[in-house]
Amino acid sequence: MTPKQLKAVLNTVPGVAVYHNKALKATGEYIVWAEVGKSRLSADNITAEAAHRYAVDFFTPEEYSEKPAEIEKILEENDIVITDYAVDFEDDTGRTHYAYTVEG
Amino acid sequence: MGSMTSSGLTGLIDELKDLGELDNGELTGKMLNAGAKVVSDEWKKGIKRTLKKGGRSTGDMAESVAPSKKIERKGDVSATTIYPQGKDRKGVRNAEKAFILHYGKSGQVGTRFVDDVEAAAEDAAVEAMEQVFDEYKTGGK
Repeated sequence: MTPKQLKAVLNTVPGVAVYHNKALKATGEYIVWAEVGKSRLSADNITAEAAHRYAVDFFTPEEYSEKPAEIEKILEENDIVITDYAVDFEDDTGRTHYAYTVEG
Repeated sequence: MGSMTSSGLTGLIDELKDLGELDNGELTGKMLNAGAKVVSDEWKKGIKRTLKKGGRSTGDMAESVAPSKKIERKGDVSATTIYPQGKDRKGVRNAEKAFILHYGKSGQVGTRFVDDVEAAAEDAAVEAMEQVFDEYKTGGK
């Protein structure tokens, strides 16, 4: 999945602003995504498969936001695999940070 | 008919099982320490490399990386956890700083540097553990 394709998928999450690399003047709930690398599967001395690896970070000031479930469903429906997932509450910003590492 | 063999860490665990050595705490401890050394070194390199890009490093966090002192048992497998230990000179937990470096936070995109560390360390760590096991099998201990 190319960066533009991922961007298009993330833009289908309703009611959430989507930013690439930096969230400028972001308020409310928002997603920031960035390219972080590629995963490769070698076979017969060639790269048989390659998948882009992305960081997809969702930030929300809401408690019990239902958006993470929506994001995960949309990613899954578009054959984007979540390879790592972590959640952290940021004391200084009062936001909950849902951090996904995805491949597609 | 095709056949399949396991390699890497799974293969090593299988071999320990086959030889009845999976419960040999002294041996598995030595193997874990050898593998952990490789992974710790790769963590340090990964932190230095990642922070160098932003030009902001005292080196404290990289130097704090070490395996957990206690070896944990997970099922029938022993394990050690490697992460930045303790606090920096400002009293901030190094593990917390590593978390933010990896996953990011509001206003700071995550680097996911640990993924690269794990990928870079995996083969070399298994090789280091295999070497300890080979020495044990040939009587070198």
